[in-house]
Amino acid sequence: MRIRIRLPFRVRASASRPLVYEIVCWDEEKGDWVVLERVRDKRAAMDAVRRLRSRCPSGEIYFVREGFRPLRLAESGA
Amino acid sequence: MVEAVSTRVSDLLWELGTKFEEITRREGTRNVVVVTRDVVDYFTDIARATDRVEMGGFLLGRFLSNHARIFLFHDYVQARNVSEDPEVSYLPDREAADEVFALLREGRYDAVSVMHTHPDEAAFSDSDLSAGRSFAEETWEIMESSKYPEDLWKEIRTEVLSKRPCLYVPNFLVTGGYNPVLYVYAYATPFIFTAAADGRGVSSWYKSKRLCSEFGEHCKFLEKRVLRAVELGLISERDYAYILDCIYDCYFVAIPIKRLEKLLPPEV
Repeated sequence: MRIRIRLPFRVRASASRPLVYEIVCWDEEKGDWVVLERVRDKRAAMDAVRRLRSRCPSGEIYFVREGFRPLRLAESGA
Repeated sequence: MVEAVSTRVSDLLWELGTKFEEITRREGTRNVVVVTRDVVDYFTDIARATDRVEMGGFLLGRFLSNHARIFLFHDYVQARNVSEDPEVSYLPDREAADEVFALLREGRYDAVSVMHTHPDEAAFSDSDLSAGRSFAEETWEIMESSKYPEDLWKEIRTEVLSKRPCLYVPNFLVTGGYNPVLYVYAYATPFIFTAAADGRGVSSWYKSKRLCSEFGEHCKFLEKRVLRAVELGLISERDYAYILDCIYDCYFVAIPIKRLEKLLPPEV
């Protein structure tokens, strides 16, 4: 029997746009993530996190691919 | 050699079953997910190896059900990502999946799960949650159906599938970035997660949290993302309900990879 793995819908969407990484910071007042900067590659994203850390008062700053979000790990106890 | 490994794994499985009998009663959950040293090392290595595209494979192991239901993953098979968009999704190579199912049907393993990586620091997405659950459902059907003659299976299929213990089969995600994190997620009921070593048992463990009760912002984000996909016609109304179920039923554990090592009992 062959398995029938369902395709995640993003696969079917077949995004043709180039990948963008977003540097996101948790905004306590808004209760949401705000995008501080968008960059084109992973190395630049990692550098940007280091560079922008002082602009994120909550200290919760991450890099994610556009359309994705991190989890608030400080809250999860991780 | 294979027999020796099999005996060691069986011994560990029984040891875990005994240890978690009382803990699961006290914690009000029956499900326990355990990984061995080899799998911990695999998570650590794959976190380092993931760069621009998602990677992944299958975790294989044994299942023991008394009061505690123990899922012990002690082996893995890396599987090529054949997704059209490997930068944003993981789809395991079908040939590798078929090989894994052949191993299950031969009885060498009785639990299988998918693990994949994210090249960034993003947590699991709605499609991770729904793909994980649908994989578990299909795996379980394959395993159950192989136990019965075809005619009998047709007769009892609905009843067997309605019990749905497949919802407890966990999936694994490893993220990248400065501080790689392991996410373990399953559905419907809470579970305990730990790492174990042959002959040394376990030292500590984590209990899962319910996504939508404790991480409202991520739950809402995933809901919105799915709704947007419906509006764009990327998913059907039927899939929409299924994916929302996966989100609302999700329980998970998040552990920085560097702390995983500490879960293992110390060397004697």
